[in-house]
Amino acid sequence: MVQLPPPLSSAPPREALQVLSWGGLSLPEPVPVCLRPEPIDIRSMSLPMGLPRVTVRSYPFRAAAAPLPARRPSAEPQRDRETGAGETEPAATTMRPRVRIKPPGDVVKLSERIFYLLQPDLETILETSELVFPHDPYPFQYEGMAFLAPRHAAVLADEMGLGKSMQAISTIRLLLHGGEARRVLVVCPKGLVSNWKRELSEWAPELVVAVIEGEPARRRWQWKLEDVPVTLANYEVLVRDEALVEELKLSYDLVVLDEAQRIKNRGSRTSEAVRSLRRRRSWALTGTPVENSSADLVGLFEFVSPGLVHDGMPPRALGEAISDHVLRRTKDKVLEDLPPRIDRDATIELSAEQRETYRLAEEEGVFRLSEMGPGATIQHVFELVLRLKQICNFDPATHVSSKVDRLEAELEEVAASGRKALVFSQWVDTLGKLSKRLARFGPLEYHGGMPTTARDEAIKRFRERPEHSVLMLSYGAGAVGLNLQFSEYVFLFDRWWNPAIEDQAINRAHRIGGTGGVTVTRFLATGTIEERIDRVLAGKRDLSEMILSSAEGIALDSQRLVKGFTQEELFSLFNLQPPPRRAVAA
Amino acid sequence: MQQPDEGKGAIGFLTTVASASHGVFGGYLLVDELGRPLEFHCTAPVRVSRAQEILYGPTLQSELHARRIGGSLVQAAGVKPRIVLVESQQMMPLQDETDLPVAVVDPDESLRERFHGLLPEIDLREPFERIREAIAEAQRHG
Repeated sequence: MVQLPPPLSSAPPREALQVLSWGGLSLPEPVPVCLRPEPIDIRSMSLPMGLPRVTVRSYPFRAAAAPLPARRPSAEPQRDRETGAGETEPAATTMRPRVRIKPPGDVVKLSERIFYLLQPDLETILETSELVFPHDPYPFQYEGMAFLAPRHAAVLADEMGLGKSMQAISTIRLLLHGGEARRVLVVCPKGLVSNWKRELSEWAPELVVAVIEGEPARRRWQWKLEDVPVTLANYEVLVRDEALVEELKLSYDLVVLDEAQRIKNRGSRTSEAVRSLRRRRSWALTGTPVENSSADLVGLFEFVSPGLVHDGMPPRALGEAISDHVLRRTKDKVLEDLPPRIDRDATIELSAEQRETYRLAEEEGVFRLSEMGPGATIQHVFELVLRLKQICNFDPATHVSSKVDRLEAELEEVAASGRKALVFSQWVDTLGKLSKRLARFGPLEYHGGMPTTARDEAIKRFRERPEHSVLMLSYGAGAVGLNLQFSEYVFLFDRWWNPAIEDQAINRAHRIGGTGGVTVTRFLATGTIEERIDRVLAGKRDLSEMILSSAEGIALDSQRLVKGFTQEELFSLFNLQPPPRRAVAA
Repeated sequence: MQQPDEGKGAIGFLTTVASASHGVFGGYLLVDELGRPLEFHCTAPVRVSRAQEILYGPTLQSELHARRIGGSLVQAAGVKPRIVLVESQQMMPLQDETDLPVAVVDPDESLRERFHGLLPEIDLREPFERIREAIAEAQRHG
């Protein structure tokens, strides 16, 4: 009997087996085999049941528990303001993703990045706060705020009309209330100072604003004002007071430049002046960050984030370097949010010259009307109104015009972005003056004083030639029959008497169901007859009571014009009592 | 452990995130009644062996996630919230580790009825998203 090692098979052992082969070895005859299993060696193994130790990292935020103040949005949508004609539902009521503040790329400390990530969404903060928005922002505006809030270097490059200033103001407010900023300087073109004042009072009514203006001694006093959270200056004043700002060693937590393309030329005094400002945060607002070349962008970033980019950088590298610092939205990108027509009121403060001329003209006119007593007619009042409105457009002696300053600032952006604009006025004379001032935008005129062929040619050139950014029209000739839907901006340089006529003018560019949005800007000189007329017209909701006029602006028929405007209303424009028993206009 | 603080109206949100490559992270966010962060605590990733996974079986979630990780996080907090909210029933054993009330945020908001007056008018599921983002950020930073 042969003793063999046990087979590897798991077959049950048997006492004896007859095998003919074993491990490939042939046996001459069957051999009985006996398998004897060896005793099993049992080895035990112990596994520890304890789980790994837990290490905890903690990030307390109690010191900055309220980094963002909150406001409760009203249910009212934006209306007649920078972005919104009130044609859409309030943004808060629509289903959409909530907007969260994300940490910027240049924040590298983990605790700071986590701090931003753990903030609730902006809407939640705003909905649960005690502060309020005057109008409910659009979703893309929340995104703009979430972009600006954490950034020390930012360019908000939204297309004109999307509310760059409103987004900046709201974020400034967040920073001030959250204790992240105490002093903010806003610098804007001279023509936009009044607009910024209005926007600040609208969107941040609780903030005290110091406007730097007037004589040198007054400006020195204004610059030195402490405990004023927001200082507002125009570029010219800043350049003039550069040495003073340096002497006073003024320092700001945030400097905001509006229409920041003004500093694209690094050698300019404006650029030098803003770059010399001591500041922790630098924001630039511009609708056209690149007007001519990438050098424009380099110039802008010399203020926003010095050294980040430089001349000669390949476009791709330049783009990558600035990508985290720039936010640009165009109307087509936010069309879902926006109404097809955006109405903006551009309140204009008259220049000192205009203001004085206006004051004298009104005092003299009212005195003469008073002298006339019962002999004063609607025609007399109407003539005075027209004269005052003309002064609101241009100072007759010096041709100074605050409205043109503002219009120029707006058109710069329109032209730089390759868009087209329509400018409406009541007077052909005004269109002529505008043509001279706005020559660099290639203005074309369209009014009843032109032959039909010349008018057609103007439309053709405006439509086809990119160098013509502006078409200037009189209400009478331009309000009907023209299709200029490729124009995205409409400026009402002065106001017509009847909103229905203004709408007809606006509808040259705006068509319901059209593909693009139209931004309508109405100029209104504050503290003047324009404002008073606007109030009267705004109060009239019944079109049948409106002034009726569809005639050519220059050939105004005053009797027809004042139809619907009661005698009391006309005389009340100057706080005058109408003569007794005078018939009310039909 | 820090001295517990009476966080006026504070609410705690506690969750865990499992990562195949790193292990399990725990995150605990304490917010005020407006949803603003007061404190955040997170754990370094906790790895369990395959043997522990097998042996703990279905009890691993409650033991590791709820008791060990959850318990450590709650103890590390300085603010004492009104309530600790978790996302799943498996995290409820956390209540063995703390004397604070613990509740699961339910999709039908019946929790709000149960704890009437105790919970603020904020979206009770949203803070868990913040925790996940913060943990992901911490993970990226190593």
